[in-house]
Amino acid sequence: MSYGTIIQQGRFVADGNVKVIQLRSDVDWMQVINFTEATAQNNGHGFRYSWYRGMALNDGFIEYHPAADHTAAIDTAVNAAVAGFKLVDTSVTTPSAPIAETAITDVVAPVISTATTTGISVGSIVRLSNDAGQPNTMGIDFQVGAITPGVNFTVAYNLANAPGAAGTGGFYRIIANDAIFYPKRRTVCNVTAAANAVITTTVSNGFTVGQKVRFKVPAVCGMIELDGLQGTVVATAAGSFTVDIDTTAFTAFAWPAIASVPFTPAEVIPVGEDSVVAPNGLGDATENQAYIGMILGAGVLSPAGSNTDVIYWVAGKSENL
Amino acid sequence: MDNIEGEDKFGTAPVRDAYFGLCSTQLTGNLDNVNGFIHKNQYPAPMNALRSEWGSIGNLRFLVSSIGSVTANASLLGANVYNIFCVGMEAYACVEQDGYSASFIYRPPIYDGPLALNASVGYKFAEVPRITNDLWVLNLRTTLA
Repeated sequence: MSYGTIIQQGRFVADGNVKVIQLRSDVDWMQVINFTEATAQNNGHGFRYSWYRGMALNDGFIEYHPAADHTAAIDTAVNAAVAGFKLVDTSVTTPSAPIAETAITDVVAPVISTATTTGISVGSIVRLSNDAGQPNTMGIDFQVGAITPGVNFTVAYNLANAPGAAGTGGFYRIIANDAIFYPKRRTVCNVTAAANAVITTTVSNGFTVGQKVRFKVPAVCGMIELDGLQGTVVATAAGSFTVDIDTTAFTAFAWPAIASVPFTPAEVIPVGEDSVVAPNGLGDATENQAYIGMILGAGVLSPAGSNTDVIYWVAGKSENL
Repeated sequence: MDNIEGEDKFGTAPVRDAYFGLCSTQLTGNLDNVNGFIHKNQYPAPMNALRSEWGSIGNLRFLVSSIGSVTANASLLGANVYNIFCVGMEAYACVEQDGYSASFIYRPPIYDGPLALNASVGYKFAEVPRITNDLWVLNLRTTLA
């Protein structure tokens, strides 16, 4: 069997959102059948979808009911302007080609102006560079918050303070996939003064409660007392986490000023184990979270279907000629 | 790492006790140009150096690898940033479970099937590399000159 077709199959109930199906190997073809729509007679609803290697990103064949009966017609996702199949390999972390940005605002959640927002979505990670007006945010990964297509995007998590000057034009690159191992090293952009300090990172931390972390805080970031301290994550939230370190008497944390460039940003570095992800104490940092898989678009003409639809799928690998 | 004593040989220099710096082969040209760099072939006893060793500067001996750590486009000007992990003795360890380590298994076609049509390759390992003390590991970051 090792040189024939490797088949995987599965079933899920749609929740109205895109569906990520992780596959145990690369895939050459995939077929999805919407059991609910195959039974129903809904005009304009797809019931069978198929994808073959070589198709464009987000494409795929759609078989649908062109009338409120059991007749069938065929179209493609690109032609119908709907979400289809996206083959992903999250182990590929190579940044995209540089994309021009024209300005960065001088606020705690900088807004990056760009005519090209293609390829980014809320939650994407971008890496800025070459903007001489705001050099203290360059070379650092930021998660994308809000997006105005073709106009700008905003970083998701607030810096401790505004950078000090507006950006005047440079580039950003899209980091297609995050680092593949749990837990991840992150850049710190704010730390509260509290009995249990709350740490904000420029990209979602992904930590779990119990994770041990150590902080590297250079003098340019103010809270030098935190440098080298080790803590345990006691709570997590989107973009921030709480540790059992009392920072109430520490110097206030600051995002480094432009005059401090070049500097090493403050970082949080995972150490030790005993987290939920790797409770046996030996799994942390060997927990490879990358996967090869297929992202199924959602909607009445998309393979992940609509809420409560029952979906069956089968995927395979075959020799390409 | 122990020192390498000086000997009466032309063009050589002693190497003192040193930490290891683990880095990418992309840095070799830049290392060559560092003032005071002692290339491995200038060691009084290069046979005491490791195969992957490139040379030393001060109390750092550099081991290079083509899979050395690189953070792509992470400098202010968008250049690649190379991570040089400077490690102290016993900063990390490798636990080989039951004395077993890693195996890279290649079976030529004659052993893989009666018709000897296909070869196979795979690996298995039962070992766990661990950082034993993260304070003994420093990351020296640099771009290429």
